[in-house]
Amino acid sequence: MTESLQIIWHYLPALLKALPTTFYLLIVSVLIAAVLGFFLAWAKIGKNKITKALSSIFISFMRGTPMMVQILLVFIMIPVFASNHNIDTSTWSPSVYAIIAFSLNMAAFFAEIYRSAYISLDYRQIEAAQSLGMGKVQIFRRVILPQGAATALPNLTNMSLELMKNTSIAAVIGVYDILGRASQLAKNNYGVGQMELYMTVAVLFWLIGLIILSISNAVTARLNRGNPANRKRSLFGARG
Amino acid sequence: MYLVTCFEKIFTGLPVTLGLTIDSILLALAGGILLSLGVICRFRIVNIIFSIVNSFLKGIPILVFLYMFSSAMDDIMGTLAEVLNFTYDIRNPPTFAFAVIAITLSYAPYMCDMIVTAMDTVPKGQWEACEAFGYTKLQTMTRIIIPQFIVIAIPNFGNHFVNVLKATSLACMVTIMEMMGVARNFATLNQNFLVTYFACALLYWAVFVIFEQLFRLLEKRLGRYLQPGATVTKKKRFPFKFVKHQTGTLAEEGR
Repeated sequence: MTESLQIIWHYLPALLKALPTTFYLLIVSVLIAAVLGFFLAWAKIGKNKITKALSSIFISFMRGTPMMVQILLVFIMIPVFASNHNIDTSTWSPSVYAIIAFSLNMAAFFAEIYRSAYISLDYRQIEAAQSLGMGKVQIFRRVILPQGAATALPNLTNMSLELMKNTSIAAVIGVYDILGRASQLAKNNYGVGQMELYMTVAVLFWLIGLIILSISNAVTARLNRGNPANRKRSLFGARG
Repeated sequence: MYLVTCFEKIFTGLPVTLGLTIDSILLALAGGILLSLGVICRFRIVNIIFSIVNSFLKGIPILVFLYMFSSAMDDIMGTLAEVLNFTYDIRNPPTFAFAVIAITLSYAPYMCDMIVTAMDTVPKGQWEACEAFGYTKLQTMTRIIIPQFIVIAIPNFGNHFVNVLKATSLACMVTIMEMMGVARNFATLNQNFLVTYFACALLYWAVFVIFEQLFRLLEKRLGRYLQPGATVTKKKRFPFKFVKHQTGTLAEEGR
């Protein structure tokens, strides 16, 4: 037991050093995906048939193929296309590709979440706002956004947590987050103390997830403050 | 043509992928039922412990489980083999079973959540009504609660099913030759990564779409009493518009 603790204590700094990579991948991809997903959802809700079909196909593809295939495809495809257009990608770090793949993938899921939040909204409210003479932007800002954000946020958090877990897949193209670092350390050591290392990684992931969840729950509670019926109690889960 | 050979080659990995998926989803369902029994338990302590276990399992990437089981299990399995008196060959570990357990562990909490939320949605009044009719607990479960519960849970279950299908692609990291593993080997062999991975993506997509549609059909069939236009005792007598309006209230009563 003390040996295990010693191993963990010995490796913890090296693992924590890889923590910024996880956060960097997570935050940048989520921010890009939040914007991209908005436009995708807009295209899917809207009336233009071409953009609607395109966004539906994109969303279905991104939902239907594993993250690993997507990362590998992005990692191979982008340099090929870039060299056709005389762009030098040799200096790009692999994390750029990882971010592109993650954000495209997340954008599809976020678009679905936005769309379901929009659909769950009572359409009579939008009609009421129109009859009050509000413009499109005003309706979005004053009617759709406040309610939609409260419904979408728990789902968005769950999806971001999924992404946080999936960042470890980026190891296949050479971006090492906590898990990638741990498996490197384990291999360097010929497998001594692997179990302890992986358990530490598991606990670290869990703690980060809990922190993100508690922040999101606080924000959701604040967004729902006018609507106490929306609140649900659950231990260690997204409350929405 | 290279793309066609790719399809043929990667297709040989499909049975392994489907086997992994179905094995793990069934085990995860069983685990989810066990977990949910703990989560909706009346005793506060059991409730809290199971919630913590649930959230802990949910917070861990599948890759951690896969790595753990593929490489770090030798000591534990060795001692288990001594205690339980079976032979465990370290040089030839059961990778497939380990992968199934890994995926099961990471998807059991999702199944648990699915069950708990679906259980919440079936109204309490139904239990009381059954009691008033003198149904036994078992009859209530099999005849009233479960048919409704399945309709609510099926869309979620379909989502998790395709998620597991995609998650099995990670098993290639621990040397299991499912679709992704076959594709990786084939790509390295032919040094043609772009086309091979593209073919792999298309195949995964096709399987995904097939299962998505299957679950949609299943949902429609099981939930036909909730569909607009459904009538339970009467045949359609009104034009569609009126029937829709009339059965709208029927659907609401059903819920």
